[in-house]
Amino acid sequence: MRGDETSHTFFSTGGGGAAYFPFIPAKAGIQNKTKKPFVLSPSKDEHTFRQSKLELVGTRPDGRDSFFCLPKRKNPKKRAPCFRGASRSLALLADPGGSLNSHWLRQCSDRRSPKSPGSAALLSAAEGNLKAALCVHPSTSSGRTVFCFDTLTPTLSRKRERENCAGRVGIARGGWLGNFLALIFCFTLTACAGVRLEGTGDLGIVVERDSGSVQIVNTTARTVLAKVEGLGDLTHASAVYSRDGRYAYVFGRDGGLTKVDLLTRKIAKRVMQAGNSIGGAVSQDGRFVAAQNYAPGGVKVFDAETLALVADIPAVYGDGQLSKVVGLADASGNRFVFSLFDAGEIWVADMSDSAHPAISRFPAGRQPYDALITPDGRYYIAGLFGEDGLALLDLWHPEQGARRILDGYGQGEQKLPVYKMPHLRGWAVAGTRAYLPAIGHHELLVVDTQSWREVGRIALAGQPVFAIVRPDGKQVWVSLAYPDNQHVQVIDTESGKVTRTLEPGRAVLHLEFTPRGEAVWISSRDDNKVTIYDTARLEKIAELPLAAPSGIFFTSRANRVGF
Amino acid sequence: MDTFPVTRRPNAHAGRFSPAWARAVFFLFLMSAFSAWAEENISPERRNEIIRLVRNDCGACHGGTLKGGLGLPLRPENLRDKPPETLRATILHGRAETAMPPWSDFLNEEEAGWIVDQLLKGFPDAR
Repeated sequence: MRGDETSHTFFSTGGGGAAYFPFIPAKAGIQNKTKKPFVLSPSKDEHTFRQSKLELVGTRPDGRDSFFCLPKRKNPKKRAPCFRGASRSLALLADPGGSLNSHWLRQCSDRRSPKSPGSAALLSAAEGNLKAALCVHPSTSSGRTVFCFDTLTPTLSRKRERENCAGRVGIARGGWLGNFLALIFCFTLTACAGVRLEGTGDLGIVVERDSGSVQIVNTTARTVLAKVEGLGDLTHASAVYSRDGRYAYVFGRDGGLTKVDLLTRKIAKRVMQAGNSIGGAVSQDGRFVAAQNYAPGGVKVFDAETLALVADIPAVYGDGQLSKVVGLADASGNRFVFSLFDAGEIWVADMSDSAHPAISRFPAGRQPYDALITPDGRYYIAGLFGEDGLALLDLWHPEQGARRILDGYGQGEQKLPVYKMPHLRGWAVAGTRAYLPAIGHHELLVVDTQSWREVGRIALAGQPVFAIVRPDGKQVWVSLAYPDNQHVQVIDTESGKVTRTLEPGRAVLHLEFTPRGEAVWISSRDDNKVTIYDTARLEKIAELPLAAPSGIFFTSRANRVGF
Repeated sequence: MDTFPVTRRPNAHAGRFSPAWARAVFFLFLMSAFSAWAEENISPERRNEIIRLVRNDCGACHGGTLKGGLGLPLRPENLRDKPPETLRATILHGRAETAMPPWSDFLNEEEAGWIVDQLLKGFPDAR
């Protein structure tokens, strides 16, 4: 058992091996008169300190940390030390007589703060159990102190704490330096940068379309970690990831491009780059992020680090008009491939000379509305709205131009109105089959990716918007457009049939698989939630409350071609 | 000169004020009163539904703020020059050769007219 044998008891460590305690000046009041001031009981809720039973003040919601204080003393002038405990050790939080650090003191005006002198209360832990505010009532009526700390890492940034606690509790009033609990923080102050030591591989963002915010989420814990606000008009938003998986580049409808840092959970950089934009891509080498714009029609390429403009490619066609750009994807050779909706063309921009990209133009067909690059990176396929068919460009031989595939797939059937454009990405391909939405029909087209011929159709309960293959290729999950957008259908790729129709919630806007596909997250705008399904059992395993959620983007996209 | 034994009714309007122009004015008044009444035919709940439909489902192409996207912007300044009848017909029947679908399965004439009115004034936010 750690930390109970020596006089360094109070510096016991939790899990990480780092000492929680900063340097305590000699005038610190704790007199360690006993050899074993802490007696840790097997039950993590009962411990004693100097023969006094500690009162459990609160437990972090996930149960990994608890806070204890000595009970109220008979003499109200006596102060009660408080401790933070993990399962096997306790660390002193509040040390009577210890030195005061006025930077850390705030007064607590939260109504959940303790009412009686000498007691303490745990204020609510913030999202993701990362922050806890321990409010300790001093022995006098002159005010209360709140301590906020990050319970996941043993280090604490002074600046961060002031920021994070300021919104939660009242601003400090004068007078707390009086006969008041001397509290010492048990975290070292070494890491002031505020970057947490965690990987980003199981993180992601969910767009909250009506509030201009995104929520950073964790797919392992299935929790929401933090909200990042100030991203502008996100009524349509799309995101791509930096090469290192740390930053999300969010493209907003109003032309805003925001670089969000998933580790500091803040906006790292933001530019307004166009009047109306729908998405973008990160180049093969990770150095550039490109945005596809409706107004002014064209593509703008930025430095991925600084968001400085590197190249501007207006989508000029006909006699000087600008076309809306759709279907932008990154390709090998540091190229960007995209389609022009109004011009009916596919363009390839080679970023070898980044300031002057070389552009190749290929006729594609009427009104390409979106496009995908196959997972192997070879083929760029643009769906056509203005005619039945798709345009295929072989990126190994682009000089051959774009050829028509699935020509006339809608012949003989009456065209139904299209209330929402389908969205295409490389998720449509499983093995040698591509599952593509049919425009104007409530069907998915099944296409053989060797011959590019149609090999089947799957009838759906509505018009498909997203048809996404589970990472192992065994299922295709399809979301539907208005008025059937409360349904999601699951197709088994072996049989080519719909095996289940789910109702995750009203107005399903998007779905995204976890990196290896054991779960799928589905956003429901009108029910203000994201529903998480187990993809093997097709059962709901969790729900997360979010405000009008739309797009879900996990960091596993960072290393996928065409994402 | 009548030779048939047809009995002409005396002028039914004799004694009333009813020149042709007055009849036309009265008719127009009835029509506008009718359309005002028809507008009140859309209940507040239905109006909210329509507002959400426009913001969310029309907004899928026209932008949640109606500033445009794949579809044209629908702010008052963009629509000022277009005849309201054309706008109403576009909502109900779509526009061929473009991505605009017909919404007549979900909206009737009065509701389409109300949407056009609101778009011209500045469309309300969803509540």
